[in-house]
Amino acid sequence: MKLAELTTSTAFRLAAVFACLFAAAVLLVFTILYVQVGRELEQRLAVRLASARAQFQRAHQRDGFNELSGLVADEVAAAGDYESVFLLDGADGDYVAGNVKGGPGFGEMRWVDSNQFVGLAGKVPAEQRYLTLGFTLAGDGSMLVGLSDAEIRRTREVLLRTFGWGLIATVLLAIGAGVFLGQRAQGQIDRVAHTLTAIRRGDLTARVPVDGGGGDIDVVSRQINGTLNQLQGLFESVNQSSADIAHDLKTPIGRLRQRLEGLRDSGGGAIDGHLPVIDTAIAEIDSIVATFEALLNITQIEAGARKTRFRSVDLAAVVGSVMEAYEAVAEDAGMRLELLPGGLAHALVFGDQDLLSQLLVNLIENAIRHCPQRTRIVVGLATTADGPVLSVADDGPGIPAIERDNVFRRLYRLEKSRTTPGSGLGLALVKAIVDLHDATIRLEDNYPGLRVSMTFPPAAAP
Amino acid sequence: MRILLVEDDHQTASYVAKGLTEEGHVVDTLSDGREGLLHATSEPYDLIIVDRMLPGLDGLGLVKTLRATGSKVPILILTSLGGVDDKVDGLEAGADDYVVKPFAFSELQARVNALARRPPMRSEESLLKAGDLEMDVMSRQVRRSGQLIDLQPREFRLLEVLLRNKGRVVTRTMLLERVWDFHFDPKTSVVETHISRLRTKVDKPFESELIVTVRGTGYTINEAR
Repeated sequence: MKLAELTTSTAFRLAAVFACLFAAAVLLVFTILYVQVGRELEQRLAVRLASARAQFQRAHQRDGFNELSGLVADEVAAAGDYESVFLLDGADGDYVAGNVKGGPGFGEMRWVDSNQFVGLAGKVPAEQRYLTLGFTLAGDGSMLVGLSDAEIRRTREVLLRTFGWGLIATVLLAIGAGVFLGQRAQGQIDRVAHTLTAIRRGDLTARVPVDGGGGDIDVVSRQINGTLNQLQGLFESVNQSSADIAHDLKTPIGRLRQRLEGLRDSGGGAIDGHLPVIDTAIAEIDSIVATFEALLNITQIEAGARKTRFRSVDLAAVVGSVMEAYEAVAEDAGMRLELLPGGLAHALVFGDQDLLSQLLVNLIENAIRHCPQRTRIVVGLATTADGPVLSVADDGPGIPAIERDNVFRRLYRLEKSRTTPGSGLGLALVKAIVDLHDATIRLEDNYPGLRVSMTFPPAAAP
Repeated sequence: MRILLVEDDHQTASYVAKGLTEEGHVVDTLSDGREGLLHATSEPYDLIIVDRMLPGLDGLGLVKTLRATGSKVPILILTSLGGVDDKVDGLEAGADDYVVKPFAFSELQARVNALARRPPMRSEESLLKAGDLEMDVMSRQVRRSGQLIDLQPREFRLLEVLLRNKGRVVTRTMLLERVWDFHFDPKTSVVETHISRLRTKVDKPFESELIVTVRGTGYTINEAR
């Protein structure tokens, strides 16, 4: 299956929507987690700062300022790194102890960038921040305690990484599931489509395979198969009845013809001077039979069973042999039958050579019968992007634009009413053959005259 | 010639049998497909004419079964089904020719003659003669009274078919099938037109007429004249 087909399949679209929904859900859950964990960790820092303040204040009250500065120095030495910062200033505001200088002053609890401290640059990451708490030491000076956000940042980093991988996994799983489901559904739909194509080509025995899983596509497949069974039965009974009609009507017609022939050959007609009457009667019978055959033929072609006999046919060869047969006929009728200058393109179509010959013959004969002398009939064969185009154009009287659309409709009515056959059946047959080949036919003005052009599907796609 | 006719319509059967007997053939008539097959396999017939729709065993089945036994006897199918499909079905089953009902007796007669008297090597023969006319199929040259005649490819083929059936009538339908491969009935006079062209080249400049029209039936080569 091509990617373009995949992305248009219903299952794949659903999977894509679900993938987006899952990703959004994951994102929401993570955001909540991210914010909550951040807050919780911040809370803990605040608690630790408060207990540190209490600890230092107690030490100051119990042991005095000098002992406190010793304690701070010990803490600094014990910490070793700059995860915690301490600053102890004397009552005059001068530095007494601690691992940093400067800072934001001795205020309420607040977040401070590391670059606000003197002496931290290069020792800690630039983005590191500190939660600080300043307090005064009852007339002896001020103290600042700070805790870095390193743990919060590490936790956030782990969370982000987890989220990233989780998101990728979710999306990949959703896409994978979408492709799998899409291909499975598409496969089932393709099997239905192939069956219907085979039916259209005339293979009425084709059925959609049913895997028995009982899925909804199975249900549809069974319904399609049921319809096809009915269609095949109907088709066979129509075929059988037209064969029966052919047999039942043609037998008596045949007997009639035999009797007339017998009468003529025994000389009975000659005696009474009725010979021309008998000949006319036989000719009438032959014309009835010809109309009858034409109708049966059109019915048979429209039924589509001939598609099973389709082969690759070179339209150029068909045109060549028909031209050979009809150039002389046209000349005798005082007309000219020509090939469009530029020669014949080899144009392969998938079709039935006999019917394609008959198609071209009918069009040329139509032109010969309906056009006056000195008419020029031009047959053309060209290859276009849409496929081979076969055309028959004349410079005769043509068909008025308003009537051009009616030509086929009138033929259909004529065909149905089965009254006067005339030339109508010839074009009806042309239409039936064109339809059988999945070709399109157009009647155009040839300025002056009529131009009939037929576009065939290229043979590459049988 | 001994001919087996299997046809369930009695009037048609007697009409065909009568006509063929008048032509000098010996005709056995049967109306049942199974009986027909039985006779066809046990008796040495020169030709079998079989209707497509028969009680017992249908015509196509008869032809298929007969061919399966290895029989090479010429078979002609009579059929009410004139669709191109039906014609192809008959030939694919193993029949040599078919005539669509209702038919003129002359059409059947011409086809019976063409089938039955066809010598096995005839189609291989490359030098065809009729009177003072000579056709070399290999070098594609036609001479009459030693004079070279220039023919179009289809005119050549038309003359060839007539010459290969020398002394027998070739019907218009047979010519359409064998010269142009048209298995349908054109509304215009394709055959007449080309016969007329051929006559202009082959007959007109010379004293006698080789191509003779058989009224209402077809054409024949007559070298006696």
